Amino acid sequence: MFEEHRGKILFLAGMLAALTAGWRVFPVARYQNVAQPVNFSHKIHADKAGAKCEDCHTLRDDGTFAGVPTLDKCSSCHAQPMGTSAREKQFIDHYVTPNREIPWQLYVRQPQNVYFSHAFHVKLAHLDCRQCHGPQGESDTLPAARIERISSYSGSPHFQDMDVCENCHRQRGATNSCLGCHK
Amino acid sequence: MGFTRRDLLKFTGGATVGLVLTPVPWGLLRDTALLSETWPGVPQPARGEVRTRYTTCTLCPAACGVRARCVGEQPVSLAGVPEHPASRGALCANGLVAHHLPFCSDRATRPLANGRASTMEQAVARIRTAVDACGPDESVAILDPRPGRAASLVYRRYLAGLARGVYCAASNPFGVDLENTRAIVSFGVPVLDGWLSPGRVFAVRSHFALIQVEPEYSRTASLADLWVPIVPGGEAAFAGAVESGLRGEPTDPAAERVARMLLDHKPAIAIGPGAEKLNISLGSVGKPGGFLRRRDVAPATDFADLPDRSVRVLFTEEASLPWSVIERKLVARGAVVVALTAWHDAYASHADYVIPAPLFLESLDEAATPAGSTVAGFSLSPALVAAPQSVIAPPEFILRLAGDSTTYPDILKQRVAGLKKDGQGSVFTYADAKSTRVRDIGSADDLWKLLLAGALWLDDPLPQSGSAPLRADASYAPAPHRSPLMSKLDQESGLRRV
Repeated sequence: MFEEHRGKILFLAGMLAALTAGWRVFPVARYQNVAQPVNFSHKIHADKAGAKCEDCHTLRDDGTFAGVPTLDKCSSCHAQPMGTSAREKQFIDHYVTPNREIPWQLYVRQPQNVYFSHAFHVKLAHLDCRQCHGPQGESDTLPAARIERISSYSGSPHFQDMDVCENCHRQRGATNSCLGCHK
Repeated sequence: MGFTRRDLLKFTGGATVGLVLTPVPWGLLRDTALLSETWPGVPQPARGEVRTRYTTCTLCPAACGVRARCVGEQPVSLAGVPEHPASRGALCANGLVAHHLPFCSDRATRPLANGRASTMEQAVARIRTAVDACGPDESVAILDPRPGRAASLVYRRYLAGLARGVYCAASNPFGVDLENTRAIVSFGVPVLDGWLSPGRVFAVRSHFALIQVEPEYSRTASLADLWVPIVPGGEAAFAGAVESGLRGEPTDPAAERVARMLLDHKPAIAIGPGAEKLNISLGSVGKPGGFLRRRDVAPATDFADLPDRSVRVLFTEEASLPWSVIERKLVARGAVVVALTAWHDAYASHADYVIPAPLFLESLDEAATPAGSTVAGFSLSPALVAAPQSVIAPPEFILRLAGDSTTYPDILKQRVAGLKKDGQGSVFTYADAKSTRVRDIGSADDLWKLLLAGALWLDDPLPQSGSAPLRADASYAPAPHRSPLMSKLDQESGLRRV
């Protein structure tokens, strides 16, 4: 039986091996997970410090997005240790005292040829932050950043796929012209 | 039976077919494409604070306001300045991508003497010798493509110090009151394809009827209200026929139709070769909706008026005349052409010396009166990126040739001080779109700072008289780019939406 269909079986075995590798192994092997340098808790800052999203992730007057806050923002409250935990002490010793910026890993780094305006999407299109970023604001720990091994770009494929942008623009009747995003 | 070569091939074949049905090939394609963005040699904008800076485009005489989005110190995108009096918020395709020009491989980055690399000192010494060797019937000329700048003043000063220096420029003391014009008859001028400040033209396009008279069905002709095809070189004859039609005399039917349109849409103007007499017939000089005289233009020699075979040394910036016209004026033997240019094209390919000039955004420069403006204008174009070390601004080179220790920025400052001293006109600031009278600005230093941060000084209108001689032509029209990419950019640049 095996000898009779040996060729077909080997062909199918090769196909199955490739399909398994392609669908199971490749999506995992394509990325490396890089832990954030500081285990920041959005939940604690929102609950205990009463911080709002806009306190740290601001839009400047000219509409540009300030992105991840710099150390100055952290130091305004953490000039001295807030509590006695080891994590807090490590944070103060590593970053606040030597005044060293935290090398945050970006979850969504756009390719260089892409222009994305948070102001347009938040203020004009009234998109909720969660629509793209998920419930980050309620998380207690920061997930590791996924970095593509070949291109070194960070973030999920969902964000960097132009089809996602185009589909959303099409659904909402927004322009899909090249210069809208590639300037 | 063991695992044979045939078995291996079958297994590999199956694996290959299976692989095509997985995300692997497409994912690898995408990742390597992204990787190619960070290869060595690919410019990488710095990561950092995003800032907005303002400048004025000097790529052509339109002098459009530019809003530059910079990451760190690097401009990453350029856009127009909303409400800018000349450009009305629009930029042309070239202006939109001007921040990419410094990376163009065709730019001039080192001095060349007869096609060979030279040092700046050698080039200056040899050109000085050539100037000194100028004979009694020969001249040293500078062909200034944009008269009225501080650079023009440098050129004039240098030539005044020579025994036989001639400053050549196509000075045009008239602007077009486009906002009040109701009809334009254009003899081959690309009105909708780069004439004057494109944003200004498109902003008022719906207010005037456009009659395009030219042999070719050009882009402007295709968008005109009426296209009149004529034989090549037939502009003057057709203009004469239209004049006859304006007087009510029987003439060519097409000319009669044009004359009727012009009479129905007053005030009207005519532009391009053959338009001078027609404008006098239309009474469009010194009247609202016509050609208005402005203050800034000093008289200059028309290059075409120079005797043939009389120019021993010629300095040129950008190409403003066909090379055949230039060549006719050069002495038969031993002529020296010095191209002060940023590009290895146009005159540079004919020049004996190529002196590399900085590009727009690479050095502090000046944009004089916006093309077609009815009042004099002045704005600064500050450097936003570092220039290569071996380039030198054309007026700086001429100052060096003259042995003058004054710097070009000093001369620009003197000009700004002069504007403050005159106290005329107002300054439109790009960041807040506000206009301030010059006399309300504290000092010349304050005015300099305003202009450096992005501002346009505009003179007060002059009282007009209709008897002045007129020269309105297409010399301001930059050569349009024809590539499909440029057309696409042009369509999306804001010009079509204004």
